[in-house]
Amino acid sequence: MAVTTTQQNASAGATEDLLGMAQWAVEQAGTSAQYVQAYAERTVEVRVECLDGEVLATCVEPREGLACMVLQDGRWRHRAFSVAELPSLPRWLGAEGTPAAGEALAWPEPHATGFTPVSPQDWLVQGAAPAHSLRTMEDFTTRAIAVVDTAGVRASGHSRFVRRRVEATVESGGNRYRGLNRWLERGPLAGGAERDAVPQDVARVAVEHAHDSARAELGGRHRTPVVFAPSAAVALLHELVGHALEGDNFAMQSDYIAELRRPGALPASLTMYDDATLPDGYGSYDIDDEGIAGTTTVLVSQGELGDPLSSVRTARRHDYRPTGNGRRRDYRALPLPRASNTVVPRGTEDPAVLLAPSSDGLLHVGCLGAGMINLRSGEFHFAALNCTYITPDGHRVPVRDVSLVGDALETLARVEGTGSDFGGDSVTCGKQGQMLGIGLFSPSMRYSALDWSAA
Amino acid sequence: MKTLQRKADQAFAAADSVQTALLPGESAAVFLERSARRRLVCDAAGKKQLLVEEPAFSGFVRLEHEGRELYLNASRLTASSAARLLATGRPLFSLGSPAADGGRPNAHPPARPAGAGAWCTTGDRLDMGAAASRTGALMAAVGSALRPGQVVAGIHVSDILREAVYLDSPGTRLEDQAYGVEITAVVVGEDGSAMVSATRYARTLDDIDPEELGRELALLHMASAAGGQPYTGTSVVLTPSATAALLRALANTVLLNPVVGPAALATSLVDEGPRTDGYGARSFDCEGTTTGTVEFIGRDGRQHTLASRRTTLAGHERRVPAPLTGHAWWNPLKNFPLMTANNVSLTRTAGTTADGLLADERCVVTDARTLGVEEFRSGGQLAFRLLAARATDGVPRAAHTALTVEGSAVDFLTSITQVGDTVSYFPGQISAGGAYLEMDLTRITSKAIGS
Repeated sequence: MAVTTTQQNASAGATEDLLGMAQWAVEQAGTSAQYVQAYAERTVEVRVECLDGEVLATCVEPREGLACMVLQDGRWRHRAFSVAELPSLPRWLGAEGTPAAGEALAWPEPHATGFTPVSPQDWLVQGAAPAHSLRTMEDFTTRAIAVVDTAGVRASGHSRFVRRRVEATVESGGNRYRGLNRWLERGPLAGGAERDAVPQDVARVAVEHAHDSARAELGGRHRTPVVFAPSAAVALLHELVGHALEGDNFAMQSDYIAELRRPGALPASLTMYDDATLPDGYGSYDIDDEGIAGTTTVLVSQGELGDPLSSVRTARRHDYRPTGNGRRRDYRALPLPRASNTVVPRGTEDPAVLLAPSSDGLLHVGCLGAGMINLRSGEFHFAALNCTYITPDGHRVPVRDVSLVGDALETLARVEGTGSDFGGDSVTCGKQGQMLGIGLFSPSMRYSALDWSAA
Repeated sequence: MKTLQRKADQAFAAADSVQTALLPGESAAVFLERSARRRLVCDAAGKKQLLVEEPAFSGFVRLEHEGRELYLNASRLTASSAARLLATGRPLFSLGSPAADGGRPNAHPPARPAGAGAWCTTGDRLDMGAAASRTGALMAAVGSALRPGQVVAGIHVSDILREAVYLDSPGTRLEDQAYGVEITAVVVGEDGSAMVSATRYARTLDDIDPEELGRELALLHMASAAGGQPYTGTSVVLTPSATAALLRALANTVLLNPVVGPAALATSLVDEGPRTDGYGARSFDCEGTTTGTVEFIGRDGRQHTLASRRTTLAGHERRVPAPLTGHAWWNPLKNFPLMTANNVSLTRTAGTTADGLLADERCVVTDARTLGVEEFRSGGQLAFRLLAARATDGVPRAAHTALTVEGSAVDFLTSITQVGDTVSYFPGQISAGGAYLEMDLTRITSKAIGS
């Protein structure tokens, strides 16, 4: 048996052939399996990196192949097949007999992406302070998937988005200071010549952040009230609560998650949900990577825990409600229960009032950076970016390289205000080596006290 | 029993297929690598399981045409998929960049003459059957260094074969085989609580000292206990695992923010690509450049130049264009080879031994967790949360509360006062050598401000 390719146009309807491939794969399984799922994917990622108005490098990454997940005799098996490996799929699935010689699988040809990157010169900031360097990274993705399983799922989807990141660097006193900003477009027109923001404006914000970092003078360890800006607020909750409510983690025997499940562990003011249906969310989808329609799932309602996010495997294993949150980086990876977009609804308090400093001052966090939570103990540490310290008498002082450290349950008990503002962001989140895009949407939120340090 | 076999011929076949599929006027460089592993898992009851990972080769193709170039991320590249990869990339070639200058001189002599075959770290191979019969003795040796209330919950014995090939249109053809053995021991409290683990890597199983590993685990388990008294002194000793974590973060930071304001150091930070007992042993980097031994940061505190085709990282030696130094690293999530270090370690200070550093009562740091990721820190500052225990002659007595330290890379390097021998290299994107070392925290202790 050979794999041949068929010419394919680039329309969103071009997933029929992938559905055919997934259907073919399921049909190769013997009748003894309790469940078979086939996932076919054709993705092209184009990444363009520029430095100071010149293209530095461009990388193209095609990801195309098929993955099978089988439940047989109570055991799960998973294997990914690149296009070249597809002929070995029937044997792996235990198909009886040998496919007829010359029988061809029609895997679609690569198609035109229609991607038009920002002209490198268009990033350059006119009139900005001198002595800065600008690195831009434009990540364009067009992704078509299809899923067929023995439980009746037969679904396909197509998505197209471009995420642009800007890193500005300024030098001061021989040291380099960075400022970051990003911009997401998604939908059928994403990556085309028409754009919903001006590149130079996005870059200008990064340059301003870099200059703020260079001006920062405050160091040391502090304990003050902390206000997280819109989207930074939900970024913290995504880490402290959202990950704990992923089905596989939720089933874990851990002191932290056991405490989180205890009634009253979360403040009654807290509501958050997972919403795959937002039109502008980085993590939005029509179907998840197991063919289940994306939906809205309540994670916390007025302090009460809702449903854990589930994949097919975790739903079957732990008897969870299917929520359509089985996500994978690509066909090579196992689908895991993951967030789509984490959302905290708008509150009622004036954001300006939330920023009132205490006698120790107040830290305002513009963006949450990388870090981690230990889901066994609840101990966390995160980097914070674009931070400002507000002195007890109201002066604003930029601070850089902020680290937030603490215990999740103690921290959650200190939520003391939710703003009436609202904002969103696009981030990448890692779990078991799979980096995925997640949307974050929330108002500002104030905590009465957090431990932080600045360098 | 299944053994780890050389499969570089598959990678060469894929790379040759790329060359065959080129159109007139095109040229290409191909880098492919894989890391295969056998892991024998043995629990405290002696139950054993062998797990084998045999991943496919992955890497990149750099396609060049008329002075421009495009990187193609080549996951699971095979001879039959090479032409398809090029066909996907060609329509996007107009988005590529001007080709980098690849004709610069190499800073290091070739690891071997052209056509001399693969560079190998060792010809030895672990007899896993024999190793399986030694697991009880290994666990006993680890356990002999533990304290009352601490028990060995299991041990993993692994061997790892990392293969890499580089092939380009002008005819360069390189192959590396880096092989080594790893032991990971797991220790818990008698009630099954507070699980900790530590690892050692070497060319052969006999090169690993399980009692020394047990000594570190005893300290690590004690330091992981809840509560404890604050440490009010300024001098601490780091275990090999903590040192490796510190070095990895330091190396990552100075690769992004080269050192300025040099200061005299008690030790120097060296990088040795061809070090055969290093986890990151390699004779060439992903651009086919020979690796070598480089004094990354000298005792004078100056950072020396590293260079790849697209990046010159200049500390105080501002030589541009600099000779290529063999420090290019392919990260499939990035767009072109980035700068890395291969096997970093600190040079030993004269007369320093692990036993000497641990003598008498010491505060021993067993875990150095970086707070935040270097890539997201705006100014090259580092912060760590240190887990530590009070110990007498290396024997743990009680946990200390966690310490927070912060400062620049130079602040951390100047705080190191004594360094023992490198005990083992530790895995990670940058392989880091772990040694017992002493630090004076005066410059890097985080000061509490406010309430």
